[in-house]
Formats: sequence, structure tokens, C-alpha cells
Amino acid sequence: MSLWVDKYRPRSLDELHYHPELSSRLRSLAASGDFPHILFYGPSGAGKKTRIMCTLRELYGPGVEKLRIDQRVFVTPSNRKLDVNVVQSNYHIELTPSDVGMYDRVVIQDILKEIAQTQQVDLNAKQRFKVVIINEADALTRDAQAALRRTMEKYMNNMRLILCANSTSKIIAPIRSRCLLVRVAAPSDDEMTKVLQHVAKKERFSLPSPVTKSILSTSQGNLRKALLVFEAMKMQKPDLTGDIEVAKPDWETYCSKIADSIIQEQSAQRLLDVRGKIYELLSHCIPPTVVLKTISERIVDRVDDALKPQIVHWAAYYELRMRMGSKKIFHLEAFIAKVMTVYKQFNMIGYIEDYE
Amino acid sequence: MAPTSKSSKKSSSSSSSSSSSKSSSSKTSLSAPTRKMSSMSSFQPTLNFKPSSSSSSSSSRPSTSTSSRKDEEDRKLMPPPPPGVKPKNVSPPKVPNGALNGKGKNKEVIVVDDDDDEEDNRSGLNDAQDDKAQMWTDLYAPAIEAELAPGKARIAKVKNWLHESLFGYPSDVSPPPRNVNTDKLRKYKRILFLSGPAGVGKTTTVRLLCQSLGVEIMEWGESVEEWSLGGGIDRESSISKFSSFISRSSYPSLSMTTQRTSSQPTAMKPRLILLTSLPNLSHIPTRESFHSSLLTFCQTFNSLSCPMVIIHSDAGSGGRAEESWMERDRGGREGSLEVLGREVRDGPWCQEIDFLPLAPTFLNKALLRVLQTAIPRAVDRPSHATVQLIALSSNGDLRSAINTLQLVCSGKKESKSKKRKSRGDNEVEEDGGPRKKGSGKGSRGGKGAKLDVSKDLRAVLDAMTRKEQSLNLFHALGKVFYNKRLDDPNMDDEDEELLERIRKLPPDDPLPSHLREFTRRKSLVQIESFIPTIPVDASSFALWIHQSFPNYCNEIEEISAGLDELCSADVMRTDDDIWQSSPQAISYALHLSVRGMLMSLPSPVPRKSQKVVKPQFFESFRLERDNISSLDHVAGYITKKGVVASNAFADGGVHHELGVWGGMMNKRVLAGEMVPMMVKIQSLHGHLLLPPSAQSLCLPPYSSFTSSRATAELAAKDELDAEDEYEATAAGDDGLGDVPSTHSGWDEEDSLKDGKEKEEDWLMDDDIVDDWD
Repeated sequence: MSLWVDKYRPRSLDELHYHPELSSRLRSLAASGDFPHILFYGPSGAGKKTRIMCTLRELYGPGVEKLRIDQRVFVTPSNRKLDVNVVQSNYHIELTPSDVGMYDRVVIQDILKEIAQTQQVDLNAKQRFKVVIINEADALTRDAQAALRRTMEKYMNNMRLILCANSTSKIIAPIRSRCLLVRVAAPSDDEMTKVLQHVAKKERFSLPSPVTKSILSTSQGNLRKALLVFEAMKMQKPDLTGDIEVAKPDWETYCSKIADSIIQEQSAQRLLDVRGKIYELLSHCIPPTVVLKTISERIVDRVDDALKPQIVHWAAYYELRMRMGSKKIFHLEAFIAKVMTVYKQFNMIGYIEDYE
Repeated sequence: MAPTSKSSKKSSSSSSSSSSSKSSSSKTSLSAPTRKMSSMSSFQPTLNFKPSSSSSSSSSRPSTSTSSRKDEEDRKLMPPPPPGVKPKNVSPPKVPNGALNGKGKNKEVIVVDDDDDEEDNRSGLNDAQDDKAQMWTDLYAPAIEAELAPGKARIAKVKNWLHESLFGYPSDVSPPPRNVNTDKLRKYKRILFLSGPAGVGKTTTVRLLCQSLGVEIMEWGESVEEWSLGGGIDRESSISKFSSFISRSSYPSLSMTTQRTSSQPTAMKPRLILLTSLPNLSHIPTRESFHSSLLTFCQTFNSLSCPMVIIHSDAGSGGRAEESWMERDRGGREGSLEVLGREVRDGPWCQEIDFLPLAPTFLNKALLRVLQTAIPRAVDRPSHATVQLIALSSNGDLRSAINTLQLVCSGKKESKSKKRKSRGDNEVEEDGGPRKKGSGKGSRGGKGAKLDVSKDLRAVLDAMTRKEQSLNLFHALGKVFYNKRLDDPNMDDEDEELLERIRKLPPDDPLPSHLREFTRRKSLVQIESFIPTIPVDASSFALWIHQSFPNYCNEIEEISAGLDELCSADVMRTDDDIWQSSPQAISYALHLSVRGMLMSLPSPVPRKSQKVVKPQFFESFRLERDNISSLDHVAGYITKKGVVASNAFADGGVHHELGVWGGMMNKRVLAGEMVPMMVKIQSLHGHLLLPPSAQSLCLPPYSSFTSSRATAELAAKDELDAEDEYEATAAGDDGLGDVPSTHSGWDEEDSLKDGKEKEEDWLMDDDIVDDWD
């Protein structure tokens, strides 16, 4: 049993439902024999990974689907042992170096050197080079990125890199300039509808348009999320008719309830209550920036137009500080207290003074 | 005399003046235990132990001679030193053999009578001038058990342990018959770990008890001088020396026993290994090999093995506002776990005894005893009030208290002639600087302030003993939260002296109109003297403040302002900070959070018996770590499943139910999208998608707010008794470390509520897992 997300994931470039120009470009790149380093970037759930796997299949054929999991042990200069899980086939290796935090440089260096120094032994292989997929390239430390840059030049002969990132802004310029940048944009609403209908057809039921609409509005261009929500809704109500609740992740519900309670009352006690909820979210590994963003979006939806720019301003202000600081809770709570203050003042005097 | 080894230098300095034989012997007896192995090891680098002195009084004199003679013979028996080492240590002492006592003081091995102590002091009154050359802490160390400063219960505990480990039966039980095997008990009494702050008498207790039990102490200490000496020798790293020392000392020493059996064939002295200074445990390989050698020590036991006593002064965090990233990683100060290693500490061989800081009354008693022996004429002694003040201001550290006392007394003697003049001087100084007096403040100093001590003496004492006294955590938090300012209502219970001092400060300049809102009355918190007394590190203190301060505010605006300050403190960085905050940034951050908090809290603060609560942060952080690891597990599970499916595809099997491999899953995506949705989906269609370990990743249902919650509350009282105070401080000290987990009530309630239904769910799922495989 597998999820629809996995079950209906395209296996080849031909099967991809949207961005046909991109697909054809990747196809010709794979055929040219002069495959460059590529940096795939784009929002979460737009289909970067799917596209990468399709490209690999185009490059090497179905052999690339013969996977195995390896646990590699790396030793840092300070003698700490790091375990990193890698998934590899005969032709490629996939890893997430940012999992080991600040030691990612060690992982990058060791693994790339190892791959680069071994020749392709399979004589039937279509390409002379191996591909290294590096996930979350934008979460790599500067050191690791610098190490990457050097190896990219050095081992061009028998290795190609495919980097996968959400945005190029955190990737150093030398790497960006050495890669072919491929942006995988989020699918438009029409494209998403096409995919959803494709899945519905395969599952042999028809998809009523109000359901599509509500799915699209919650998933905001994230196809993975859309399919997950879709499946959950289908499970909830197999005929998908009538008033159907959109199946959102629990933490989103949590965040919007927090936002509601902020608007409801502005007091020390309420702040302390909200704090408990936020701790709950954080301890369940929901990234604090996501929490802040979700809460502020919900608040912006619910307040007076005059207040909206204020809320957005403060959300941006505290998110920046949160990234600079170390104790996320301080900043999240400072944001909430600030919103409470602003909201309270607005309600008392009816207008709002210019913010700093 | 042989001025070659370190130890003899030490004793020679003390005995340079001509003194009676008795007094000199007592000095050496006291300096003997302070000598380290290094003195010997400089002679023979691989031989790192020496038997330290201890024996009962009656036999001491003869045995001095025997042991010294024997010692010489031992040296002769030893292999010649490697080339490159000057054989200077071997040169025989020049002291004629007849003068046993004079000789003894320069020897490596001295067995002396400690009971001489008092007698010696009485006779050697005129040597008071000479005595100044020596520290009173050494000179007037306690000689009998009753004089020991630590509490009776602890001493009894130590004594009992020693007795059991050495003889195999408790001290208060009559010895078992000879043929009974006493090894059973001894086998599990291998390591005694004494911890506690410096100067509470840990080492003294062990030494004295060993003496009274007739135990020979083998001491190991880190030696430094070999680095300069060992030109041609292969340098052993200190830790390997330690391991070999441990392994060697578990056997009875050969040469000595032969000596002893020749002279007194029946008695074999029990022995004990004493570790006072430890290797550099922050170096991980060193620590590991230290732990493993301790473990081997525990595991290898025969009837001749000797037990080990490890003495560890925990430094405490003395109010330093520094918290480097490395220290945080290790959880602050070294605990018993750090020193002993998990296997040893949790094993059956080890016992820990924790010494507490000495109470002022105990200190007072000990000081008076020292004074009585040191200064015979009551007239010369400093007043009782002075002694009391010293006791109060020394923070439970007897060693520093005695040193202070010595300093006070010596100063007195010198200044006697010009007493009038100096007194005048002092007073002038006194008037000049208002900050000089009254540093004896703090949790204990409050009482001290009422003692009848002349102003100048107090000033002198302050200058000498001024140590950073740490407040207890709740006291420190209270100072911030109550935000006391001059002319608050209900100020009757305030310390008049402090008020007076604050009033004397020049008035603040009036603020310009656009800054009017920042005008505050003068705070009673003297930031400069308050900051160093904060007992926990900066970030923990910020967490504690953060947890409880909203309760002390009236309006949300005040909270918002306060939180802004905490945020600014949190982002405080200097340019060179890459991974962690530099010490400078940390101290700025601490200032910012304290000052900012005082600025934003209302004045006067509403008093509605608010509680100070332990930060939820620690619990949340622990949960987050647990959840991250179960997230890892889920990631592994999903990857495995995907890989299996992908391989099936590659083999040509076109199966409709198989998922297509879409690459490894990002953890953020997993936590935010996949896991929550998969939990939903699997509960709906009853197919297992996640491993059972993912259960902890489900958010508990959103409970509507309740105002009263049963959280683990620690009431903030101004006066907690010492024990609580200590524990609370310890709990905060760890930073992110092992804070004892006290569940917050609602958490448990909630999980109980939905626990039942969840459980059934998961049981059902578990059945399916078998099907799938």
C-alpha cells in the first residue's frame, strides 16, 4: 500500500504533467552526452526530486532504480563519528549532508572524493560519469559549499553533481555559476487540477470541482500537499460530495487557533497560554519560521485593513531576528506580544501610529 | 639537606629558620601530604607512586628512620635512571644520621606524629614569626576526627566506606573471625568519589581518617616538571602514566613488603590510592582512557587490591556570565558522570559522597580552634566579631577563611606600632569610596552586616575576602522581577544601609522630552554588583526570566517591551562569532536582558503572590530531541519502503500498489506535511504507513485555554533553606543539559485522554505490519 503521491509519481520525463519545455530540455541534455552540473531549485512540492529521478532514468535507463541504502560513517577532525544514510544505485548516489549540521563539509569532501576517484566499472553504463545528488543544498554551511566548489572543478571527468534547493539565495555565487540553474516553478492551478484529475481517473472516480477548489486553496502550489490532502479527503468521504472538511495537517489547525486566541484576548495570561501551544508545536519539530508565518497569515486574514501592513512588518522583523538568534521561542513570543499590543492599541484608539 | 626535589624545596623554605625539632617535624608532617608524585617521578619517570606518611603516634619516630633508610635502599635497588637524567636526586642527604628529625623533614617519606601539633604550638609560641612562613591551613590542620569541619554524618559515611573497603566489614562491627572471607564486601567497595566545593575539607577528611585507620596513602597527581626535565627520555603521556600507575598499584609493592616483612613480618599495611588532581578530562581521548582504566581497576580485584578515593572539587559556575558553546555542549561543570564514566558510576563498585559548603557556624568553630592554637594570648586575637564576619563572608570555604584569618592576624601584628595612624588612614579611605563597604551582602551577608565590627576592619576584610558571592537563583530572579526602586511603597523591610547608599547617589539628569517615557526612579538593584552574583549562565537566566516575567506585568505593552529586550539579547553577536557567541557578546546580552527587564517591568510591580516556574524550554527541548530521533526513524522507514518498491520496479514487476521512488525526504517536509497527513490517512483507511515510533510525532488535540494549570511549580521564596537553594541552582546550571524532567501537568492529562484511543489504533496497525512484511 502506498500513498497516491508515490503511486502516481511520474517515472519518466514523458509522464510529467506540467512544464513540458523543461522536460524536453532535460531530455536533450541527457541525450547530448555533455551533461552539466545542475542546480534544481523551486518551492517545496513543485516536483524537483521527481524531475531529477526522471532525468536520471533518461540518462542511465531503468538500472538507476535498483537502489540500496547504505549507512556511511564519517569521522570528523575531532574524532566524532557521524552516521549518514545514503541511497545509491550503480550510477548515482543521493545524500543529505545538512543532516549532520556543521560537519557537512566532512561528508561532502569524503563522499565526493570517493566517488570521483572511482571509475565507472559497469561497461554497459550509458554514461562515463556518476551522479551525486545533494539534497537541501541551501542548508549547507559555507564551508561545505566552498569544499563543493573545489571538487566540482577537480572531478568533472567522472562525476556530475545535481543539487536540489528551495532557493538559490543561500548558495554561494561560485557554485551558482558552475551549475546549470533549473527552476522548477510551482504548478499553476490549472496544472494542479490536471494532475488531480489524472489521479482521480486512475482511481476511477470523478472529482467534483468544489473539492478541487478547496484542495488548491489549502495546498498553495504544493502538489505533494495537494495529493496528500486529496487522498485524506477521499478517505474521509468516499463520494466527495456535500460539505467536506479540508484535511489539513494538525499543526496548521493549531496555528490558526493560536491566531484566533491572540485576537480574542490580549493579556499576560493569554500570552502564557499561547506560549504553551507554541512549545507544543516546536517540540513536534514544526520549524519556528513556518509557525510564525502561518500564524501571521491567519492574523492578517482576520484583522482590519489598516492593521495588515503592521502585522506583516512585525512578522518579517521577528523572523529575521529569529534567524539571527538562538532561542526561537523568545522571538515567536515577542512577535505575538507585539501583535497583541498593536491590536489592542488599534481597538482602543481606532487608528494606528506609524511603526518604527 | 638535599634541595633537589620539589618537595624538599617546599619544606626547606619552611624550616630555614632554626626551630625546635618538634615543630619542624610537625611542619614536615603537614607538608608531606601535599607533595605530589612528581617529586619522585622526576627521579624515575615510570615510577609514579610514593607511600605517603601515616601511622600512629607512638611508633612514628622509629619508623621514620626505618622508612627513610628503607627508602634509600629502595632507590639503590631501582634500575639506574636513563641517560640524560641528572642523578641529583640520588645524592644522599647531608644531614647526619643522628638528627633523625632534621633528616626526616627533607626525606621523601616521612612518618610523623600529627598529635604533636598542639603540643608543638604550645611550645613553639615564640616561633610565631617563623610560622608566618607557612600557611595556617597546613599548620593547624585538624588532628583528630572531632576537629574535622564537615558534618559528622558525612565523616562517618566516609569512615565506614574506608573501613569496609579496606577491612571488609563496617567500622562499628566487631571484626569477623580470621578465617571469614572479607573480600565479598571489599570487592564492591572500589571507588569512593568525593565531590563538593573547594575548601570544605574533603582531602583533609580522607587523610585524617586514613591516618587513624593506619592506612598508607598512595597519591597520584599530575606532574608538570617532567616536560622540562625529560630531555632524552621517551615522554609518556600523562594518561598512559596514569593507567600504568593504576595497574601497578593494584599489586602489592614488592620492595616495600619485603622490607616490612623483614622488620615486622605480621602486619601488612592496608593501602589506598588517592586521586586529588585528575587528568584533563575535557580532552576526549584522555577521558576515554581514564574511564577505561578506572573500569579495569574496578573489575580486577584480588584480596590484595587497594581501594581508590577520588576527590573532585566542582568549580561551580561562580556567577560567571560566560557560557561558551563548548561548555554548553558538555553541560557546564564536570559531574561525576564526566569524571567516572557511565559504566563505573552506575556499576556496583562506586559510591559517591557529596560534601556541602560549610555552614558559617561550622566555619566559626573551626576558625576559633585555629585561632586558639595559633595565637596563645587572648589579647592578641582578633575579636569574635571579626572571626564571625570572616566565617560569613567566605562562602563556606574553610581554606579561604583560614587564609583570610591568617592575613588579618599578621596584618594586625605589623600595624600595631602605628595603629593610630593607620586607623586614621583607613578612615580617610573609607570616606572616599562609598562602594568599599558592605560587600558582605548577599544571602548570608545580610546577617553579617549587623555584626559589631569596626568600619575600617570591615573595609579591610572586604578588600581581602571580596569574593563573588553567588545569590541563589530565586533570589536573583526576585531581584529582577520585583524591580524595587527608591521610594516604592511598603519599603519598610528594606536594608537601610542600601537605601542610604542609593539616596546618596547623584540624581539622574532629566531626560529630554522625546525620551520622557524612559524616566524611572532609581533602582535598588545595583547592576554592577548584581550581575556577577547571578548563579547561572546568561542564556539560562534569560530563560528563567522569560518563563515567569509576564506574571509580574500589568499590561501587554510591558511584556512586549520586555520580550523585545530578551530578543535583542538573544541576537547579540560580535563579528567574530561564527558558531557561538563570544564571551563579550554573552556579557552584553546578560546586561541587556537584566537592564531591559528592569526597564520594562512596571514600578512598583504588582504583588499577587506570583510563582517562579522552571522554564518549559528544557522540557520542550528534550521532547524536540526525542521527536527528531523518531523523525529520523520514520525517514529511514519511508526510505526503506521506497527503495524496496523501486527495486521491484526495476526488476520489471509492474505492480499497481507500488510507489515510485521520489528521492529522500527532507525532514522539514516530513515533519510538516508527510507525517501529519500520513497519520490522518492511515487512521482512515487502516493501512499502515508509518512505524509505531511515529506516534510521538502526533500533536495532542488542541485544548482550549485554562487559566490554572498544574505545572511543576517552584515557589520563589526569598529565603529557601540551603539544601533547596543548592538543588535549584544545580538544576539551572546545566543549561540545556540534564534538567530533571518534571512533566507539566496538562501534557500528561492530554496524553492520557487520547492515549487510550490512540493505543488501539496502533495495536491495529501493528497487526498489519506483520502482513506487510
